[in-house]
Amino acid sequence: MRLKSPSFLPPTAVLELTYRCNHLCLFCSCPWEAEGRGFDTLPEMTTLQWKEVLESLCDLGVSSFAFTGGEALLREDCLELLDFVCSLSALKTETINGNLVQHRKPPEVYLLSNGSTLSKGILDFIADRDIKLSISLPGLSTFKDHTGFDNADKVLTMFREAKKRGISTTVNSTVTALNLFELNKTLSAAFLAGADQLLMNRFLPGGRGLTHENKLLLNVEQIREMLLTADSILIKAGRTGTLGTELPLCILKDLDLKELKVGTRCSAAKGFFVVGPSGYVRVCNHSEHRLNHITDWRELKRNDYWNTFTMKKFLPAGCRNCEMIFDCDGGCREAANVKGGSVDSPDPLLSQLSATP
Amino acid sequence: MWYIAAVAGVVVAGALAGIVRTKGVSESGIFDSEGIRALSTSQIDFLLARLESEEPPAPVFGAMCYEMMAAPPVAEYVCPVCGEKTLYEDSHTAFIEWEIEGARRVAESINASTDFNVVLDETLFCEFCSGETEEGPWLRLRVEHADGEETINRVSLTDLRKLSSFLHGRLYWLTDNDSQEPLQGDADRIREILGIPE
Repeated sequence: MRLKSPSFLPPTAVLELTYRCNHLCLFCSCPWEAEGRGFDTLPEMTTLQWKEVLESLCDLGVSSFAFTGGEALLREDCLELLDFVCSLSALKTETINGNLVQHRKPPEVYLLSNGSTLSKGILDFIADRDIKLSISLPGLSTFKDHTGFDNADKVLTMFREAKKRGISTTVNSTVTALNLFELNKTLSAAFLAGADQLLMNRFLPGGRGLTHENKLLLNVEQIREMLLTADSILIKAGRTGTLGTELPLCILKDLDLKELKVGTRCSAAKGFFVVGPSGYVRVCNHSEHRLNHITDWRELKRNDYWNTFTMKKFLPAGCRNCEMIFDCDGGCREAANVKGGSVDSPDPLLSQLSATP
Repeated sequence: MWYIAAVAGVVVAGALAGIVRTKGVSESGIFDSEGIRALSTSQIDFLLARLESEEPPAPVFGAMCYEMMAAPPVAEYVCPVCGEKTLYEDSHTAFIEWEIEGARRVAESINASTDFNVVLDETLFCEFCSGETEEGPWLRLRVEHADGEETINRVSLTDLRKLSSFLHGRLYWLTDNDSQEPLQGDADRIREILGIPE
């Protein structure tokens, strides 16, 4: 059985409410934080414009919304927008008794925060609306080195307070060459504080991170160490986790990971898409390429860049004769684009390998 | 690593070029240091003859340790022609979710490996493009020869994997768990798909 979808848009929208952030993360990949790469900060959408976007996306079959930024909570109307989206019903297609059914359901809502402005009051608000919360924890002793602020204790406190309220939480940890040594402790602390699951990201060049690439980028051995360390902690803690950015399958094929799910396929423009602060769509949050405005979403299917991702026409030349092309997209295509100048450039990780004499 | 695979590909191609030369048809120039050239009908005929005459390689069993994943209950198919999305449930979800992208890539590599125009036709998967037809959904491979003759065949991912391995000069094909199976019994099917009469 099959059905026409209400739109070709992916089911998850990542909403970057604001450019503003009160952290100065070395690894920040937001394209507007990159110096001299021409990503202008166009005016942010108004509250009314965001509400109209949210309503129309729910009608178009987008049923999952992740609020982020910048730091989403710095936007004065963040809670108003969260409250609004939670009051909507989204068109969702599911199988019920073996049949495909399109019906309306409350959307799934996620809030991604650095934790700095979270409070017990905001946690109560989140708990009341069944919003899922993700908080960044890029290290313990290295938290300040990475973010510019000494806030790790606050983050752990927020995990504990969220746990008391029954909020589903994710610890979001970006791993760099500077914090890998304490990944074990960082994840352990988050799980002991009550975090339910892990979303781990490897540092990828982009945004402000481009300036600090030399000291942050992990090599293949470090990536493998990162995966094995995280997996062992997940097993001990009885939790599950995912790696947020896909890896080339060739570097992890022989690893036996139990609880950490590692993707090898890019889901940009297929599983999710990004609406930036000004309303322009990007295929993913790493991307420096603004496409159409969300109000012109129908034009996306005529946009070559969008279609490059929906049809995955981005395999690096060095991967095209690989036997793993059925299961692998050759790593992160947007990080490859940022570093190599085109979406079919090698993943920065593989660039390191090919640069090795 | 991909660069090792690329180097290995060149080495394999070089070894195969050696085989070709020992058969006295070195002028065929099927392979060069860059790998595979766009093969003509006569070159493919040569490879088919070799496939049928040479001792088939012994099967090599691949890994069986991959975690089995359940197919998603709903799969989203986005049509490469009209850009619209069709939603699927039932037996097609695993194929759409995990395999159709590989089929596209292999079809592209087949197109690049031959001097025919090879197109993967996915029309039957798209609710918007397939109209009233009750057929399918399944993939079709359209092969257009230089003389304008077109061959259209229903194909599976296995067909495409075998064809790709064959066009890379192998006497075996690689299954989805990296096993190596001899291709010798598939010569007729390869002829049929490519529209090359015996």
